Amino acid sequence: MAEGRTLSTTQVKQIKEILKELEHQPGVKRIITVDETGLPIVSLGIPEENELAISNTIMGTFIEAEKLMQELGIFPVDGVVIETQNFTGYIISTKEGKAFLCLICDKDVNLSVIRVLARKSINKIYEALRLTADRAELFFDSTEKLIWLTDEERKKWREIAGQVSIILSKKKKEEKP
Amino acid sequence: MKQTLVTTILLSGPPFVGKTTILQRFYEMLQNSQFLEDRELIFGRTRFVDRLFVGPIRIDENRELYHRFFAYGGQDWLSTNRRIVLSKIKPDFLIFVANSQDVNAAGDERLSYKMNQFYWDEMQVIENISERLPKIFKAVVINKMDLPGVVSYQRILSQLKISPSIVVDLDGTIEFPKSMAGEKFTLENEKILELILSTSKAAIFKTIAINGVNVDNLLGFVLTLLGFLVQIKESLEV
Repeated sequence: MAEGRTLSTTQVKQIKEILKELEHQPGVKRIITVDETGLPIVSLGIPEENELAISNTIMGTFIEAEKLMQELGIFPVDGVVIETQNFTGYIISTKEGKAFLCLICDKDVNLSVIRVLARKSINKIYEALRLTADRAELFFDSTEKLIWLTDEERKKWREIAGQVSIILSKKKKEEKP
Repeated sequence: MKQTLVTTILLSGPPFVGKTTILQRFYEMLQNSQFLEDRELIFGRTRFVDRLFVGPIRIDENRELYHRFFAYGGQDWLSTNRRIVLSKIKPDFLIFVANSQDVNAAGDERLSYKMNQFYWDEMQVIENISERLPKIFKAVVINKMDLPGVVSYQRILSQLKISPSIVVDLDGTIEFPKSMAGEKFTLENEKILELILSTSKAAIFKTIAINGVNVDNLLGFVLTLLGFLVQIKESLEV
């Protein structure tokens, strides 16, 4: 399984666990979960070099389908089914579009079963994301106050600036023949 | 268990101003460092969003820091994608890459500095980004300074209705404030620190990203500022 890097390790672990049930389902060939920005979270059977392009497209496909149905006044969209000669693709999304799940299955798979399992999994993924993804909004709320820095903080600033310039100047030196 | 601190940096601005090129320069500057985690840059016309993930940077035994850079595709036909990026990605730092070209030089208003306002104003009306914008640090990059027909930075800033905290010229010297004009921009200088710690103003960097001119100062600024904020205010945990 390839792992996404946009979530915490705990979240990825939880999502991997959730997908185990689907992974062993007969007929399921490939699985990919995508985060709300279109980046891959966890995938199975997808070449790593194609993962990003595929995950972006999965999100785009779902959103385009939603737009299409919205134009027709039919919503919400539960899922998107893509049929090919040998395979069936199924894309669903969590509430609020926090994540997308795409399954590629054999053509003769029982799609009703897949639908139920996929819905169950996506609901669990939603919970995993909702419970652990709350960022501390306060972090950047009071930045103006930082103008008044303590001596300790000023020291810290100099240390970090020093470290960063070492990283950047090291690269510059390497560039010179 | 190690604590993971993550910051998100968004590069926004009109199409063809050099957002991906700036990310590519960042990538090259960090390429041989141990900190480069991942990247996906699409040149010419960004399909959805470019990304560059930097990290882990070790803070201490228990904490690691990651920086995630994103740049969206600015073209008209990507407006839906752009709005998704703006509403979903919660940046902790905004780098607005402005178009620096005069209308006559560009030959087309859509390829001139006139487009900056649309892309700036767009962020003020999209949920999430509009709420975050006043609270986060901002840098405005005036790129393609080597082309003829570059408009003044004052013209661009008055268009965006934002004041400069500092203006760093192509040669890495300070152009504004006048009291520091000609001094070298170095982040270890505490006088500069006083200037840049303001979320109501923006730091201005003039660059020629294609040649990497002054991009190192921009990257140094972003990494130092965010590294500092994360370390002295430890609540940014994903």
